[in-house]
Amino acid sequence: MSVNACLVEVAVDNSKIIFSLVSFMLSGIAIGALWKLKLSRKTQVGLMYGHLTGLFFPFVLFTTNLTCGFLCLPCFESPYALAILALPSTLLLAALTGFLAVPLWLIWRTPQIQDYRLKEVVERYSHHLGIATPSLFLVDKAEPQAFSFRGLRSGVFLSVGLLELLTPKEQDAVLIHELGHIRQRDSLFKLSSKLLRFSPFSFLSGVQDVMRREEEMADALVIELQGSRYLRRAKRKVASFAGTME
Amino acid sequence: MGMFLSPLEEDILSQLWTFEEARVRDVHARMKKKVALTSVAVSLDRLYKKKAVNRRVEMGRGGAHYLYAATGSKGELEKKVVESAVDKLISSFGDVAVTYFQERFGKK
Repeated sequence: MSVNACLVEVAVDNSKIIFSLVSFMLSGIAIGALWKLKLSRKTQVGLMYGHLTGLFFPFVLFTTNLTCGFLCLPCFESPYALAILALPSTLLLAALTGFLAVPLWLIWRTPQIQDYRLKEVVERYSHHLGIATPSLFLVDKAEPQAFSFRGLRSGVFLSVGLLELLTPKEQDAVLIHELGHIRQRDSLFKLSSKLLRFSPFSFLSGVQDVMRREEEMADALVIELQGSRYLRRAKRKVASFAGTME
Repeated sequence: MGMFLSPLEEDILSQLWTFEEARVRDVHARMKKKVALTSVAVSLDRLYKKKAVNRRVEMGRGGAHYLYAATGSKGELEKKVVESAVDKLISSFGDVAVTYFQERFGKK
């Protein structure tokens, strides 16, 4: 069969339309659930990835269809083979887009911390480290937690529990640690595995080693700028909370 | 979630009933037994998940903190605990539990 004959055969048939409609519908359900329901952060991030996957799938499906037709491969005739071929690319595209979209979503949904002392500390150390001052955000959780990312807009997230349990100096240690991550431009895998247990990359064992080294470097920065006492005490309190919860 | 409370949770609740709203540190300062601040924070979080207390975030000096308040009076909470315990017994033992209650509370 000639290439032109194959391309003539590439058609939008009912099964591909149904796949696409179902995909868009699931994508809409995911974003609707995100908007309306009160969900845990992990579920929110999972739904975001689900939404992006549903959104991209029809486009990847049709692109794969055209490619199969152009190359005159048998897959252009079978919608199920097309769907299987389109899925890995869709997941990869959704994961890569998610790394940008998820932080922006979190920033949009999370209130900012306005405390003068905390903002002054972040500004002072950011200036010292030569990075743009990130915004400070509040996570509504009793568990002491902190995380950060550097992206289109950098942010440091602190939980209510952390602010309640840690003294000002211990909070400073945590802030310096997070600014260290921002300065290091820590890997996008870290954000994914922190936010998503079921991230497509979290099963890669190499990621864990990278993350451990990044943590050690961020700790080393705290020790360099503040000493180790407050960092140790902060870690002890965090571990104590987690241990008491079990 | 079941309404069974640990001794520490009971202690914390009895302190919380003396406040309209209280921070973790306020409750911790009033505790008669010496416990870590973290233990009080964990217990209040557990009580929140059991719906024995409500909480809201207050932004202020130090960034933010929770203000906890009991969802009901001591009597109302005790009723919830008893209801929860009885419901659990009935769901676990069915007719045996019902028969026992009938026999037990049928006697005068």
